[in-house]
Amino acid sequence: MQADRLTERMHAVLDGTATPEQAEALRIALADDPALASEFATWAAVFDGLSRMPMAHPPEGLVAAIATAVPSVRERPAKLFSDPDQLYPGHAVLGSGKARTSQPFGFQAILGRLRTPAPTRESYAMNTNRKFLAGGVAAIVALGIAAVLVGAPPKSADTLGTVVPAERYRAPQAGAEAVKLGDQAGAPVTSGVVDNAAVTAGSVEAAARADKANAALSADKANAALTADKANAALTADKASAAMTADKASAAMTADKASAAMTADKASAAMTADKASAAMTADKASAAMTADKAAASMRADKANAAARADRANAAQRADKAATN
Amino acid sequence: MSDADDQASLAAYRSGDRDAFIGLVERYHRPVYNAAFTILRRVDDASDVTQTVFLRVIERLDDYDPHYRFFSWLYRIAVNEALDVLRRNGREDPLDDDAEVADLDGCDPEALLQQAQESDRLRGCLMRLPTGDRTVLTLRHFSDLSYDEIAVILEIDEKTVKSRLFEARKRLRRLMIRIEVH
Repeated sequence: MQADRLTERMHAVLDGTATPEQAEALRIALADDPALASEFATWAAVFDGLSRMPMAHPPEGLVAAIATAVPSVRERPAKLFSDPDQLYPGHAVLGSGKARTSQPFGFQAILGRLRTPAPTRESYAMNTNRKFLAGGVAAIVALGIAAVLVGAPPKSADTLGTVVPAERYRAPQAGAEAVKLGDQAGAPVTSGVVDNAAVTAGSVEAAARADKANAALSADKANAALTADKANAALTADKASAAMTADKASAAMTADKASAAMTADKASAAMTADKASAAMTADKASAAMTADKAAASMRADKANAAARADRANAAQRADKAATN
Repeated sequence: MSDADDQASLAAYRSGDRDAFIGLVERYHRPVYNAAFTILRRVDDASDVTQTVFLRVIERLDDYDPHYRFFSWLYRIAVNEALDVLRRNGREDPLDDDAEVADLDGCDPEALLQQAQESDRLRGCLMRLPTGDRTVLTLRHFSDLSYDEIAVILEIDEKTVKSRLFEARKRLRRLMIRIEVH
């Protein structure tokens, strides 16, 4: 078997996807080849390490945060996020060549989204918030009117059999004798206010969810502001980096000019030195010639003097000879 | 917990039992978080994606095909969301060193320490791999999904899943050897 095929076979065996025949063929190959067996042991360690690697702990409070956002099925909106591109059937992930870009990315796209926030979580939260607030206001108005009509708080006997959360105001079950339409002071009660206990529970719960939705909206706004700050910081950093690069190029040019000037000065100084040296050489030659001339003159003088002396001597001898 | 339990929880939620869905959150928030963290390598991003994933499940509950395991469907959403965040960021962020890793089971402190060190080394190598490698290795080794399920999640065929896993493991091993040498 070729090396890669053997390795693939090892992976299949370690992964539990090899057939019994493939596993047996590998076992025979390993038994005959200690190097192969060592290779298999190394791969086994990798697989074992991966299977034993523990999962990271999510941050504290993550489950609670998710649980808070989970709506009851009755309140479940049709779409939590309004972007139609994010529907499940349209998803494409790796390798399919159909990378879904429901939102463009890149720095300019980020800036664009910051200027016009995507109508996703915000719009959902705002729409839901409005519905909760409207429902809550209507419920509170109805509650107030019911309280005026029937008196509060109810006695425990009046609430027997009513399934509501504890610690909440429980209006008694509304019946025909308790609700008098239109014959009391205050706003008329519509026929829609029937199950006061359910409305009360629902309104408080809706108000609580509205608060949570507001908190989520504030958090989203804070996140968007933080993203904008990060984008601005990145832009500032890019500008500073570009300025530094320009400064470095300018400094390099200046250095090059100075270096060229220094080279020119050196050449000039060398030429000057050469000239001086040549002048010195000429002076030396001239001085040597002068010395030679002087020496020759002295030799000539000596020769003349010697000649005169000889003539004088010759004259004396002639005089002596004449005398004798 | 089996897939039948998950399906029962979804049915209970559809009938009005909100706590049934919260039970699913408690059951799967950690593997979903780990899948997101392996792809994104940032604690905050992984937490955000984890929350988004469960809300998406609620949004698309009517689209869920019970022929697929709930866990497989959940993971598909998680991988898609994490990769979306990665694309929107436009780049991979450096590894978040503040991530808290789970404690290891066991009684022997020395063995625990050695195991923890080996796991840390392996995790460090894993996080240095390209996104595609980290994704397939997470789906196979940490989520125990079948090749077929991984193929559905990544929208590729099973042969490509095997090929990608093979190459990813080879790159992981080369990285481990390189780090050991240095």
